[in-house]
Amino acid sequence: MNLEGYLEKYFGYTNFRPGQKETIMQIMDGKHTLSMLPTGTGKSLCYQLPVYIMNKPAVVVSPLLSLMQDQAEQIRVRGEKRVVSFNSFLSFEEKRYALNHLHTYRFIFVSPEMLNSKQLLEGLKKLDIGLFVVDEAHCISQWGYDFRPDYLNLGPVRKELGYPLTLALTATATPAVRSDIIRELGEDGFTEILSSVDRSNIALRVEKCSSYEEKQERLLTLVKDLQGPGIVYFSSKKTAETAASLLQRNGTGRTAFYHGGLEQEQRILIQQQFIKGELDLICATSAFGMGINKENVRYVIHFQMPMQMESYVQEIGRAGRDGKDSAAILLYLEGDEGLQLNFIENELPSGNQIRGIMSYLRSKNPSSSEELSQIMLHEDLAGFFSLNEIQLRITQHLLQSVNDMDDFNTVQADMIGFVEKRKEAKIQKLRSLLNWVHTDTCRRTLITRYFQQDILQKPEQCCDNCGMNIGAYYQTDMPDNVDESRLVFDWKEELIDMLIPGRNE
Amino acid sequence: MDSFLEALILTCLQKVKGERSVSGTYHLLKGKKSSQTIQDSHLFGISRFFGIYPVISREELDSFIQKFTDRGFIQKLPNNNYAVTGTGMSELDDYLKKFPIPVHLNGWAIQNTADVFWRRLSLLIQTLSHLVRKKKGFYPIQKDISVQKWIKQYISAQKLDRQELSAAILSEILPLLEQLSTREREIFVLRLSSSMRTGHTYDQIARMLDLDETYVYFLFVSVLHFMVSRINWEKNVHPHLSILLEGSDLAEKPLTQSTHTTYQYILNGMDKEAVARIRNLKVSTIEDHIVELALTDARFDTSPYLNSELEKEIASVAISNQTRKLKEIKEHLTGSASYFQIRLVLARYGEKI
Repeated sequence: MNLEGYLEKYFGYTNFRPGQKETIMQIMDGKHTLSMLPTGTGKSLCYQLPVYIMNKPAVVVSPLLSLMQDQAEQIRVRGEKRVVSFNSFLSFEEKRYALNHLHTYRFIFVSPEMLNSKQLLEGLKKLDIGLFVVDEAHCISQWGYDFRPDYLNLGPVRKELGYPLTLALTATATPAVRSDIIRELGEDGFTEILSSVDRSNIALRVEKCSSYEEKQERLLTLVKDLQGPGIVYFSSKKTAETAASLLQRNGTGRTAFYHGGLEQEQRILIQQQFIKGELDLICATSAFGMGINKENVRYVIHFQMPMQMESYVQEIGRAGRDGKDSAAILLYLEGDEGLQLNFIENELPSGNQIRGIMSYLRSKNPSSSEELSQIMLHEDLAGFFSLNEIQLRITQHLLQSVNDMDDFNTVQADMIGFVEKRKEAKIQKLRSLLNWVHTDTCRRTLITRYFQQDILQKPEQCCDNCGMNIGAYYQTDMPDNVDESRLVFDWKEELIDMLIPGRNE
Repeated sequence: MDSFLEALILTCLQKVKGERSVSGTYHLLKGKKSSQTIQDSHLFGISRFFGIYPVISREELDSFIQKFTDRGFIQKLPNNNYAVTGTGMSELDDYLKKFPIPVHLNGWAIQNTADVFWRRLSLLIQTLSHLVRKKKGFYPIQKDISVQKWIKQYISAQKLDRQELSAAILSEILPLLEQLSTREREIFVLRLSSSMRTGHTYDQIARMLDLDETYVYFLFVSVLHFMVSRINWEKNVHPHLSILLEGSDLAEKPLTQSTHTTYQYILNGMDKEAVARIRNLKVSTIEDHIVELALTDARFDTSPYLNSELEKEIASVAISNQTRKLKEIKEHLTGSASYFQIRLVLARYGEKI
């Protein structure tokens, strides 16, 4: 059977999406593969299909709990039952059960920190792993935009598992980050499959506003005119909430806000309403979107710019997954980048914090690196030096390299150097995005060039600099302005309808 | 008063009468399983608010305190706690006349169970509404795998087929809802997800019913508490719903792990000094555990720690002087008693004082 045959047999599709087939062919050829596929092009199919063809299990490492759950759930919804997720939320009993039944699963999702578990690793060693999948592989690169120290452990884990056939997946990674990924994973000959980051059905547009009020006005006009559904991204929870209520008050209809501060069930409700078309507009922070499969998002607006091109491309990539014309609009107000600079400052421990931590540790006089890690484990460094979670993680990671107790000063200098370098790299990325905002040349060309690619084919609706007609993205017939919140509803009728089919069907 | 949550927090401050810090209210709403929080919630008669608003953050609470202070609703006392002022009291009364505290709230006894109950019930109804229409593959509204597994087993363990089970669930829920106000029924049904529509968020319901979001939340919690207590009361009337409460037993109060361990030793006949030695803890910590046990379990035996005459005297001093202040009680006693003994009695008689 050819690959299309398998695709139809297991998934019911007749055609692959760009990059999927190429990736799967490499894997079936037994080649370690790094695959860069834009969001929404079905990255997970690239490991799911080989699992069925090879009839061997896949171990999938995923950085975010929510992402892991979404993927496991999507596989389950398809009817596949042999799925398990190892993460810190698993109870002791559940974990024990899963470990004892490891050989029965087809898809084994693990968080990177769970791979520190000797038990799990021993269990995995006994399996005939068909595919070792590293999702969001750019997290392994210290110069990537979403570095996760836990990911650095993946190289050693791969080695311990005897270098299983590996698939590293990422949506957006510059060449430098891609070579980082391959080096950290163990350097043994990876084939790269690179799809274009260019999405020709998404028109690009930047609009500059001269005041905050003007920006809000513009947002209101845009969401009233544009054909939905749409997503508006904000850089803080507060602004997302405020804007949502402004839009609601001005009759934009079915609008909701979404951010990480909402209680889990409320978040799930908003996501599902949006996916099912019960909402037309989401005002969100970057927490919204990962793992959400919605084909017909017609526009993505950025009320504030993100921190770098990688995030921007990911976020606008949530539009137009059905291939139809969609729009990405960024609203810019001079000084917007200040907010992002602030985030960058706060993400990393400061020089003073580092010096404080080091002199504290020195005063404890540890005699070995084991003793040092014991101290770090038991002392409340975060509390003493008011480190936030990311700062703490990065600090712990940096301290891991301390081997020689005699030379704290070198380590301290290294740490400060690392932090400075990383800060500089982030500011550089922000600057690139800012240049893109201010450019008067083709925006599409500039994006692809950032990833050192070329555009495939210049679409008619390209970008504001090449000329695009925003009117083409307006609603053709205005919806009746029904205020849903006033609709009468009969609780009893509704409850009966839920449980007893008939009457109105 | 801008929201029901504010009114609730002010109510808590009023009940503790400046005898406890703001942290106490914070831990109460969060449902912190510490001896102090558990004891205080009983002492001040606010155990029904225990753990009913776990999403509150310290910053949020502090901002309310600031706002109350600015508006003259509360006043800082020399001990750094807050007392509700006359203005605050009348504002609170006015507000609660319009939006009364939902009557069925019973956080201490029910919150844990209600939480599990809702997760199971909401998923059950969503699942059944798909099954009766032969629709397969949907995104479960509850992500917790253990809840999903539980519902699956529940459905397959029933003797009824899917249609019959749906009808049975409906026939058990309807009479429960009939006993509530229209507003409460509406909120409950709007929160449910089915094959026809996704459930609504508190924020969305608030806008539909023109209420404040936190009031919608507490009314909803109250509906759940009502359902759980009715179902528990008459299990035979609710044969299908009562199974949803299994494993989240009402008797299973939120004991702290450490108290639980202490309890095991005490059951084996050890005195508190011995428990302290073997657990390498202070005796005062073990005493905290014992007070927590007295609060949690009406049948817990306090006789090893105080005789019945002393118990009666302490109780009568506390009741006749209308005080829970340990020092004050101690001064009024004819004989001598330790603070631990007084706390133990207050734990028993707390709600009556």
